Amino acid sequence: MKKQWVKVLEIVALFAMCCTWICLNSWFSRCTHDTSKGVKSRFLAPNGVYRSPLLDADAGKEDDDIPKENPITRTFKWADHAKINRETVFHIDTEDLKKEIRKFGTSHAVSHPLALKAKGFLVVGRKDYFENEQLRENMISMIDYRQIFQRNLSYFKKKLTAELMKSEGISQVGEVLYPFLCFIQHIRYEIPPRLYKGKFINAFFVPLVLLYEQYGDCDSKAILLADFLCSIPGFKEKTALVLIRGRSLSHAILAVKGIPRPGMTALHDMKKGYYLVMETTSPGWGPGFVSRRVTDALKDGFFHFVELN
Amino acid sequence: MNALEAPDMDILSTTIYVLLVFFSAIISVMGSLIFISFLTRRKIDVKEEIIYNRNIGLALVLASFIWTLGRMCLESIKPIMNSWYSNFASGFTVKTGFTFAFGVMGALLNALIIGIITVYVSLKVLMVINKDIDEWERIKQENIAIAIVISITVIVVGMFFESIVSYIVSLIFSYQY
Repeated sequence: MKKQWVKVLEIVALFAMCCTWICLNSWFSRCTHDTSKGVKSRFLAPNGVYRSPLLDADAGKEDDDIPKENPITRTFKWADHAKINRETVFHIDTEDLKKEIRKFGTSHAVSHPLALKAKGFLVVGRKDYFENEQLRENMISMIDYRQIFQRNLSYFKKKLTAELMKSEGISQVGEVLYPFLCFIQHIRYEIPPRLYKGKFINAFFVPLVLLYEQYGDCDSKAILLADFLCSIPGFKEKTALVLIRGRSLSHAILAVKGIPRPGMTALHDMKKGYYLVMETTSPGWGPGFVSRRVTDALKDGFFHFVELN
Repeated sequence: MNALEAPDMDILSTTIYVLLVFFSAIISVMGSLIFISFLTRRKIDVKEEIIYNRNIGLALVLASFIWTLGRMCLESIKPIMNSWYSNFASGFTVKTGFTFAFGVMGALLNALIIGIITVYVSLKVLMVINKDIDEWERIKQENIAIAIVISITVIVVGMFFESIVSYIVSLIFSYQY
């Protein structure tokens, strides 16, 4: 009889443990994913989610703390692939920087796709939901990388690329890939804020702002590298931004069209051919080499390919 | 033309890549054979057991050793090639050539050591759990069930450890230059 009771108690204990586990699990997931804020994403920003009063309060203050000097000088100290220390000085026109800051980011809740496009965002989906017995719609937008890349090309062609090539002593197009990648890798890695000068920028710095602030994250650095590469006279290779999301990884790398050598990682497009991957976040990775985690995520297809040119 | 697109670069890189794969295969097979004889304390003649006695259990365990060591060596090839292309792009000299060769030896040795440690740790854990069983004796008696458990344990533990190898090899080459 006692043995039977012990068995029953064991089952009850097991059931109680399962219930506790489920409760803890749901509580934990509620804490980590705040459902009231929709799907949080590094690349996708559901519109209407970020209606912070801070945005409206700070609107129009974007130019306040930009230095009055013209042009603004930014110096980068870095080591190239041959471990030679180099110094690159960029001269950024204040007006151009202000224009660029004004062009990207929303200072208030914008929902119209065209208005979002004008502010550097692209509507990629809609999500309907019920609130107070009314059907509402949330717009899901992402940064319009292609537009930002193409907008900056002419400015880079005119000024910045020549300055970078001069600091590296490069004269030929064929020599640029390694040094340019090294330069970008040596820029300090830090995730930009979600709000910058009173505007929602979804943690992305446009190339000019990145050079001005002297730091950036994966997608900001990848677009900067694309702008530098494509603004070189004679550089005709296609570039694309690869947004990786999966295998607990949220990352962005640049892909440049080229033939992979033995051991390199590349993405293959049936029509356009091979694209070499470029890791921009940390030094030491050459063209066609990325970390194992990134390779695994690419192999499993957890990526989105954004063609830039 | 890009420095990486030169025809001589293609031939050299491919040769180095093929050599690395070849050395990886040799290291994994030889290393596994030597290590399995060490583990069995030379009680079992591995070649005789597999070739003449057709001991499938022992063959399975040896195969898992080769797989694990091979994976470790292959993991170190990518960082080695990364370093090779960086060297070539920055101008290749005799000095950098020697440093690169030492780096390759260090990387493959590192893969071998980590592989052996992984295999040893996984076997030791199994042997601690099953204190009353002499696994090698059972395998000699052609107990395939035990051999399957051992080989799968070795492979799975190896899968956890193989990601470390590429990081260590990257570190070796970043310190070198």
